[in-house]
Amino acid sequence: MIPDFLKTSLSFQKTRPLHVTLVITWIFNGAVGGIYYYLPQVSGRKLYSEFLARVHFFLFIATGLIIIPCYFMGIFGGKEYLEFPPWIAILMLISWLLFLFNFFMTIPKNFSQWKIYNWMWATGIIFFLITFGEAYLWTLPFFNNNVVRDTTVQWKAMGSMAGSWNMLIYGTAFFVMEKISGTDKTTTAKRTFFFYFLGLTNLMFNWGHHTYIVPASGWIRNVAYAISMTELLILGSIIYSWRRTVKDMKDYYQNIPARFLSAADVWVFLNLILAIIMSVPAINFYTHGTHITVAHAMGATIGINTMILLASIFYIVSKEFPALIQVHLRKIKIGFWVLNISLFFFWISLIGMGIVKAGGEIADKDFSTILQILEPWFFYFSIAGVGVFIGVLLLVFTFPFSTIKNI
Amino acid sequence: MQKTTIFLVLFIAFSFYSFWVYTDGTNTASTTMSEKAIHGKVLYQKYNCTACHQIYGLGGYLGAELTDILSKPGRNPEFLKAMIQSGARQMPQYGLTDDECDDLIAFIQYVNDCSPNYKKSR
Repeated sequence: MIPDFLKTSLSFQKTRPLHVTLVITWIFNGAVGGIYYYLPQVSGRKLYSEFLARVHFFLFIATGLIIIPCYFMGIFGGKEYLEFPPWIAILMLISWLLFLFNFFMTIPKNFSQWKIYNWMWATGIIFFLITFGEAYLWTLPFFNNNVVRDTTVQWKAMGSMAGSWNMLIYGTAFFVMEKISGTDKTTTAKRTFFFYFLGLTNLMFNWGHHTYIVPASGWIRNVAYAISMTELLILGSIIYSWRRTVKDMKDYYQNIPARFLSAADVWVFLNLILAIIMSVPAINFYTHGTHITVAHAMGATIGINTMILLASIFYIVSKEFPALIQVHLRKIKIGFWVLNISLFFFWISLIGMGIVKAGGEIADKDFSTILQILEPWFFYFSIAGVGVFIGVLLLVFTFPFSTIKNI
Repeated sequence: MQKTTIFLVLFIAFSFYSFWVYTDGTNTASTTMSEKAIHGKVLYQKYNCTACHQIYGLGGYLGAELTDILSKPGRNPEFLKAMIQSGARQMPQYGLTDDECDDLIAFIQYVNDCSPNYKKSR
């Protein structure tokens, strides 16, 4: 918006990875923190090693404290979303292995008795490890020295990695939902497991819709297209149970965690429609590489993931500090609406930008002309972004930080 | 047991599919990378060009898509070199040497050569 402001010292080359890293940190910290909290309840025993959990936490923080100055100083060397120098990935790998070890040593091994969230958490933990390793295959010349292979594998790794953190977060949503409703009917239902396996199939094979424009084998496109269309089943299921969802929203409206879960439901619906449209090759051809892809990412990370994580955090707070939510109820309600309404306009302006950019490319306009046409959209986008920021601030500062020492 | 079996079947399918993607599925690049292009790719990552520029749609949207930039009218290696050395509206000057610029352009040329029909049906 202000191209010359701190153009050299804080260029987009630095701020973008900083932004993405902090977003992913929030998502992982929120999800993993919740799982550490819920795991003893789910397992009926204490965490296998609190010491390892603390090492995991401090290693995670230390890794962040190394990455952030690297970005400010312009020290890169990695790939998109993991731009930091590759050696730092070893610290992340160690911390994740500690989490994996602690999780599987704590949770009972009677898989047939596992509820849906156990499956989802275990899947998310295993697949993060796989996809994280895959994201570093470029360090081998076999992958690095072939741009088609390198790009395809990078999209594959990052697409499935997003699927892995979705598993951690959706598992958390099911757990919180079970606790709020007081019944495990949904978390043990065959229908729920059907959709879990459908989600797992999408995690494994749906990444290909990002690579329609990469000159790799046509089979990758065909498999991705076929798999992505299975999302219509999920959409159909949401529409089929819409009336019940609305009833649940009304019944639990005064329950703050449930309200955030309801918001996530709405965002799943909106984002799923966008995802299905984007997965149709004839449309993807024009939309890929435009802000419509960003709209999808923002709808997923803020609309779905953040709403579920806030539900999880407010659920934990309601258990640990029951009086606090009542004290700050008004602020939470305002924050909820400011965040969701602003996010909607934020999302719409990104879709608008994507349509304008695709139109400009079809008309063969050069990049600088397209940027000029986009300028008013950047303005709407920024205003909506400020709204999202205010909404988040209202929610974050609901609780005095002095409560942290009591956790 | 049934759930574990479904999980394992899917996992095995995923493993075979991944292996195929790593090998035959992506063995389609029409040219090989020169030493200069390999060094150019290192520079592309070192300067985090991907924050603003895309290759095959991967990267940020602040700068131009680079996949087939050298096939566009009026966009030749000299033009690109001048852009890199002088910077642009949002792009700072990174102070690349002549050799570094040449290597970076060799990488972009390689990507361009691998994509003769990139989005051509538009």
